[in-house]
Amino acid sequence: MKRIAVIVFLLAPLVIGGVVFVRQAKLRRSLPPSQPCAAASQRPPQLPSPASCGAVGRSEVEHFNRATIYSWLDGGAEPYLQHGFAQSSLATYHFSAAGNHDVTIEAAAVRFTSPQGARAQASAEAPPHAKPVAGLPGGVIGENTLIISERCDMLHLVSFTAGVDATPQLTTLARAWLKEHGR
Amino acid sequence: MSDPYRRTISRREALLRLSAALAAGGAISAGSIFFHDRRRISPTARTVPDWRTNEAHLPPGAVAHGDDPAANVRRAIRAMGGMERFVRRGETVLIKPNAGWDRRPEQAADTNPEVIAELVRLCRHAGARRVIVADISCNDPIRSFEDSGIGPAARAAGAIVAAGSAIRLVRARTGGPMAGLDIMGQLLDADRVINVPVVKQHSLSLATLGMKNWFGVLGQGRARLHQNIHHAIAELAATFRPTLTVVDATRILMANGPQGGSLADVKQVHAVAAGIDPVACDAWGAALLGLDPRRVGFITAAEGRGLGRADPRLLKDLGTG
Amino acid sequence: MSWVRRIRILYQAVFLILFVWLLERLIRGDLHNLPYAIFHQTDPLSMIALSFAAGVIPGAMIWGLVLILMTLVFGRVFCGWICPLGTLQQLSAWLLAPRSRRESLRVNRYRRWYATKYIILVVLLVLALAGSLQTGLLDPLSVLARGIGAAVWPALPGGRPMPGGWLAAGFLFGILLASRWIPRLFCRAFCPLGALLGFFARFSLLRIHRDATSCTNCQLCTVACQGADEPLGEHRISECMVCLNCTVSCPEQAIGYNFLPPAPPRPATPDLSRRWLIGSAISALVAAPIIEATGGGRASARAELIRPPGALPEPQFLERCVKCSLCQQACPTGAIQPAIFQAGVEGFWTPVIVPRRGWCEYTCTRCGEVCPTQAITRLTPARKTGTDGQPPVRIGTAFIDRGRCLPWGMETPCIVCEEMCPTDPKAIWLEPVTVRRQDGKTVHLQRPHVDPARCVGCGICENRCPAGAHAAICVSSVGESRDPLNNLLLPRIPPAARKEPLT
Repeated sequence: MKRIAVIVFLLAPLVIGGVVFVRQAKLRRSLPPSQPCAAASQRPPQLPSPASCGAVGRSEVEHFNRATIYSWLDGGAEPYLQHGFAQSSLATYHFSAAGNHDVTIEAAAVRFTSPQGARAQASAEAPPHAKPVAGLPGGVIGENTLIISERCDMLHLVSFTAGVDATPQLTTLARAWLKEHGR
Repeated sequence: MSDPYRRTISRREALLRLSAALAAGGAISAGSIFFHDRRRISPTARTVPDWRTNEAHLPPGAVAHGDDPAANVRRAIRAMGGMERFVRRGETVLIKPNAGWDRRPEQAADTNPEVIAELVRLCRHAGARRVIVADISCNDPIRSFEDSGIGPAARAAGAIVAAGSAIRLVRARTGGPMAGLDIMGQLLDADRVINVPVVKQHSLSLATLGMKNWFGVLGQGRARLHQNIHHAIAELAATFRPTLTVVDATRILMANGPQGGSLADVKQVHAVAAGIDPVACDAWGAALLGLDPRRVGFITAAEGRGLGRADPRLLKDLGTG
Repeated sequence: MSWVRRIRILYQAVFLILFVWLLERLIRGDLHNLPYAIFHQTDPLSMIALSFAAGVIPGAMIWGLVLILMTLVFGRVFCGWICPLGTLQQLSAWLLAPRSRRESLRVNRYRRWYATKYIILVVLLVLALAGSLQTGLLDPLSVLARGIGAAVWPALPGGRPMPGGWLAAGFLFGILLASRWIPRLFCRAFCPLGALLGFFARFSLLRIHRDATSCTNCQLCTVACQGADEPLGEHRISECMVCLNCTVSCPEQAIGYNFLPPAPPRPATPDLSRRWLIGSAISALVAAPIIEATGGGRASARAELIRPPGALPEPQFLERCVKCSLCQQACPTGAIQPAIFQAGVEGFWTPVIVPRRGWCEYTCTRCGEVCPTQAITRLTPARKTGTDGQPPVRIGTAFIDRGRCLPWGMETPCIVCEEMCPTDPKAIWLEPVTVRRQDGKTVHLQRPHVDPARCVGCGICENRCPAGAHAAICVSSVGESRDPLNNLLLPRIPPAARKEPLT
């Protein structure tokens, strides 16, 4: 009888300790995934005002989130979601250029949950033979498309006016976006 | 002595042993809880005092010309109201020369020793308990102080010379570009401070004058300040507010500053300015180098911060004596 | 075998397995937030030495108090029931040298030089008071973690070798092998943690007691004794590891483990003379400033001394690091290596980042999470990368060696460093140039430049640089956040806006 009491007394701390350890370990399950842009991804990204980039006008800005992205990019949404897509803003800008040609640019600012995601999507979408843009670190341009990523955001600009080199308008728009972004 | 192999112990012994264990446990617990997550006691950062005296009715500065540097100092200080106006009995005065380089007096890389010696004598005469001459040299401090003549002359005049390992470096509460840099402890301990630069050309800031002379009270890491030198000099001037600025223009270095070397770069001006407006004093020195004070970045920056007026004409010219 | 002994072995097995399993989970990169540092956080030697050296017991280190209080009640149960290094030594003694009773009687006697551990303890604590924390060199938990991390894991398939791993391996296996001749030699003679607990065990309430009237002096208790504490003679309570072998091996039941039993007579020869104690304390006091001045670890910043992100400034770091090697095992890329020469004598085996072996993963903060003493402070990914709006945590700055760099020195396109650069915007930027090669052909190149204001010194560029054994881009410690003087650039502090009144 005394021997059993001793055994129970000796084993009790081990059992109690084991139970506490397992419960504590269960409570502290897995680290939260690193989401450096968690705060920023609550809000839709900004697009510059038409005045700040010399545009004549801008269409109404549309916003998309993870649930509504398919209505914007039906076929291409999957890579966006894989890279941590959070929100996006979309608008069309009109510039009046010389030679009676108006330049129309579609601008999409896309916010991701991490800078890596934004960068990965930007490099995946860069047109072949894209070249770096002077004065825009990290920006590439090619085939009337300019792509640049900054922190958690990516800016995607496409000029829809055929036959006109829209490089100046694309660059000013990107620069205006970066400037607003810096604030 | 009780039998060590007895079966039981007395109540007294049991109590003693229990309390010993309790005391040990209590002591170690108290110690651990005292130290647990305690904030480190770091040496408190010192504040930089303001060494200016009540300066109402004083002229911004005065300039004396003449062959004897000591006489120039005396006349300029007298025109400012005499040393007694700035230094009181029993005070500790720190004189900050430019003793940065291992050069002879005639090479004009360091403040003239006779100017320093005369200032020491004037301070002693005004009743200063201690006069310290201190600088953190760029070259070897012993050679810099001996070859420039400042060390022997100051000691002969009754000053304590602090250089090299005698300099204490302390943490001080400074902002801007000086954040994190240590500062000469003797300076912060002094009651009055006299800044005694020599007029020299400088390739980056254009001129080495009084406000730039404060580089010499900063510890390791001061070289970084050159990245934005005009802003840094104005910040230094806003941090260190001396009792007096005495600009030595006995000989000035026109080129290859701030070290010089060749006597061809040296111009004999035979003048000494003393003043309470450090910006006006620097403007006067810059004019001697042939510069327009309004085009020297740190002078306009200091004026913009309200530290003084960048006009050399504010200094009263006493002529030759 | 008695039940008491079986239960003790069960305890020892559980703690040994737990210790090794936690290290194994750590090196495998288990994402669960397991209590990896639990053994090191309950280490009272580290706790007391840290309060001496750094003046603070950080965070969970306070749990060391539990072990001390336990020792005040039960004696050195940690040594006999918990310490995994003690268990391994016991195992090795049992495996390597089965002994006759006569031999066991001989090797389990107390020897005066077993008091060496008290000299070691005094020297280590005095060094800690002087600001140099060296307890980790001989702390059994650090010794075992280092030995496993530097010797066992690298030898397993897929293991990464560590520089100087053979040193840690030799030390650990030397300790284990020594038990072939004297069981638990390290515990008995050299362990500073055992010495510390031995000091507190003098007060212990429960202790071994021999009833002299029923004892027949058969010496079976001494044959079985783990701590060489002479249960038969003048029992040395500070040496006793409470293995309870003596109580169960006594045929007469003359030995018990009782509450406040009568104290045995004081041993004729004390463990340690006062002269030795004071002498070792004074020697350590003299040695400390010499080590600090000449050890080469405290001089201003050293280029190759890249500390993990969040590490304290070097003097405070040396006051806290217990060289447990947990950060080295936690590092997912193997970047954190033991410093053999980089950190001077005092910093031996402290963690240092060697970018050619691994890089500091941009959003990883694992080293600070496992550091038991917070010598590496805990960071969040947002704090480390600077997405919280503050400047990022920098550990150094990368410099390009233009002679070795393919686009700079050999007119060959390469952008690997820029591609790998994790900061946003990138700290490495490319300058497009067109140059004429020796053969007359023109090539378009993108030449990398480092922006020191953006570089955090993570070293992935150096790690991935294809320029052979020596990378063409190398990280130096300059620019590290922890030392404001080891900085290339003027700190970016907005100019003071105050305006002085004109006087």
